[in-house]
Amino acid sequence: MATQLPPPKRQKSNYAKSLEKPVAPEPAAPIPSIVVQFKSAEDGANLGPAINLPADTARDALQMLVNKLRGETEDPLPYAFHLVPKTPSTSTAPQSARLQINNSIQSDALNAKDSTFSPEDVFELWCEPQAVFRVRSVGRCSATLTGHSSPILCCAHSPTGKYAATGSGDANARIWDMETETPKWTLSGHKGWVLCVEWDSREKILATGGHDGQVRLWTPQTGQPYGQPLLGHTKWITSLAFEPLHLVSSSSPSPRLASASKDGTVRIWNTSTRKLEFVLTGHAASVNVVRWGGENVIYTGSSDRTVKVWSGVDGKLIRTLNEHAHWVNTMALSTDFVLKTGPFDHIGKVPKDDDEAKSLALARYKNVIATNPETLITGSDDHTLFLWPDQASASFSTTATPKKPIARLTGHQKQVNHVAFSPDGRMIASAGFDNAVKIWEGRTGKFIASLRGHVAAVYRVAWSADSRMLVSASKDTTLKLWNLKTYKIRIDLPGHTDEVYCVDFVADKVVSGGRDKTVKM
Amino acid sequence: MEEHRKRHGRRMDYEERKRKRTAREAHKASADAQKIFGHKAKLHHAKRHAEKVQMKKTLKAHDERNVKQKDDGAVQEGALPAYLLDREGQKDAKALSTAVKDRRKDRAAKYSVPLPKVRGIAEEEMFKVIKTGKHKGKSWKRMVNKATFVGEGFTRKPVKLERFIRPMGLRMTKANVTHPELKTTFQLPILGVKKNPQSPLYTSLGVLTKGTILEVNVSELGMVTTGGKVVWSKYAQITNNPENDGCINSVLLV
Repeated sequence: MATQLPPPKRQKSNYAKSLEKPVAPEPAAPIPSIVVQFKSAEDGANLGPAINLPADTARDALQMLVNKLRGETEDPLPYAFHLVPKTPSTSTAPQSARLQINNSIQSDALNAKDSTFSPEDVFELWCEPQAVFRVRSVGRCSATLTGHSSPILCCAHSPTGKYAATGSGDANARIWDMETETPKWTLSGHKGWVLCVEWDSREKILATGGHDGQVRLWTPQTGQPYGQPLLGHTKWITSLAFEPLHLVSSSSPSPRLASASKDGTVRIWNTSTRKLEFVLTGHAASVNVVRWGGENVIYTGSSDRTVKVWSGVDGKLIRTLNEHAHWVNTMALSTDFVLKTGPFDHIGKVPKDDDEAKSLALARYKNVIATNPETLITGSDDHTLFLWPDQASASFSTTATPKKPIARLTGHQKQVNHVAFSPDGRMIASAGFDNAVKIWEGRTGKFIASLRGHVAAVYRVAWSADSRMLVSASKDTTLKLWNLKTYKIRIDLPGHTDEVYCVDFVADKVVSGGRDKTVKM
Repeated sequence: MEEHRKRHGRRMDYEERKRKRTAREAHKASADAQKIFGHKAKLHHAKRHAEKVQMKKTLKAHDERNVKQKDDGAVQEGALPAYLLDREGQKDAKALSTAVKDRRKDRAAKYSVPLPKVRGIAEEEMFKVIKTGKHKGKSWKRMVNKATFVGEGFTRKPVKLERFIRPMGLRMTKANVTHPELKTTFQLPILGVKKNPQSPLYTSLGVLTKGTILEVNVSELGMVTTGGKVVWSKYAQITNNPENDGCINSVLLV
């Protein structure tokens, strides 16, 4: 007899299934109750007494609590929270300086894989207020603009965000309208590559520096040159910096311009008369970068391994900082963003005249300075960065030692190419030739995280205006937008066909230019 | 004079004489210039120098007119942003192959030094035979003829048993070390001799010849490792002959 298949089992019908009692869900693990002490990240003060909370309090609830404790229920500020993990004595692995709380303390700290927290600790939650406005995330390339016939070497966005200017190797600079994504003006006149471009904080003058050693001024509204080129440098211009708006004296209505060059000098020009005011000599090698600080102090970093601090009033050398072991490549001030955008902030109010613009700029500057004084960070070819204390007010404080750096930021394995402070001055991003972007704490210089993802040298970084997003441009032709909560890539922006040399973040657009001669927005 | 010329004309051989006179002028001027002396000579030579300078300028201008000039309006190729100028860029096609070669070299653990080969030094040049004994018959002692490095806390062996003598006059403690990228030179104390390419005997004696690898104290340069620790010693290779110059010039091996 052939083997017979066993008779099919009787299947339960759907109706029968529905009659079964539903299985009761497993009882959730009991949520511990923890003691939380809110601390303000600016000064470390306690915001109110320690509070008993269930551990799964969501971030929004925590935010509301902090706002209530500070008494700011009318204008609630968004907050970012983080915990500082204790380093256990037996662990040898380096701990990151902070543990971000994104969802709730239970999910991020207690249930995390290698957490060192237990529900019985008193959690000290550090709160950092974030910008009230939020910049929309960049998603895709909305426009590819051609026009330059040579690699694009530098780009800068105007203080209002309406225009972007790019300089290229074909000796032209172009101004593009950001809202309509069309080219506006072509500024020709340089005899060599246009190496750097800078806007003044009132958006009335554009300055470009070239490989021929000339600095030219232009009016962006008409696209015409603003007078004769400023001659005087014997080698190419490496960097330009405008005087901050709140320091402009009423006698000379236009801000002064500082230009640094490979010949080792920095020249300060009066832009309205186009005359040379004074020359800062003293560096023994090329001056790579110049910055004009908010206290009328000029910082210069050079290839002779020193950083010199000069007075903006008369050009006298205040002090020399020589701690670096190789060329000083790049510099950033914690007040960079505020000085660059001057009177314009996220509200978008247009000042009526020069005086109002000046007072608005001064108010914004004082706002930022009140919490933390202006600090300087310098990055160098010796793979490290130095964070320097406030140089200008050192004469008033007796205990300050302005020549000694606050911290030395090590960790990069190759030269550091670009460093940038976040607009709120809280974080520092540094890009290096070792394919990594590193994030450090802005006030103390402690290492926070390393963003890896690029496969070739990272050339530039740029922060969004609300300090929530970071975009980096690299030799591997991509731009990457980073998520600062998880320290991983948020969005990859490919599309350039050759190295990306410069990037800038405007309102909610990213402008980038590179060796493929196109500008992408 | 002009009136006489109008009336009577010139001599018959006037043109001939004029031609010959102008032909002789160069020789006459040269003979005069060599024979005159005193105040007259000074004035003449100063005038002649000024003329010579002018002549050179006009000649140069003529030369330039003939040569085709590069168009000044054209800008150079290969535009680079300011932070990449002064750095040697690698051509993309070769980047991969050089990277692979570098990795292979690292794995083979070959050290590339600035001076890979050095001249061999004979023993007669290196050592001088010292004759000892009552009748100066024994010749087993040798004195080193080149610069040497003995460490701190060096004490000689008992003199009767010492085979190699390192004279105090030839002992050196500091080296002038050049950083190859910064192109600056520092005077750094020597910590020790790592390897003398001539022979391991010279390495153990501490002899400093061209091509020797030294260990130098670089704490004053301020270099730091990625972990934040201060680098305090590095290798350097000697590039001159210290016994001839009296100083040690070397290149830092970064």
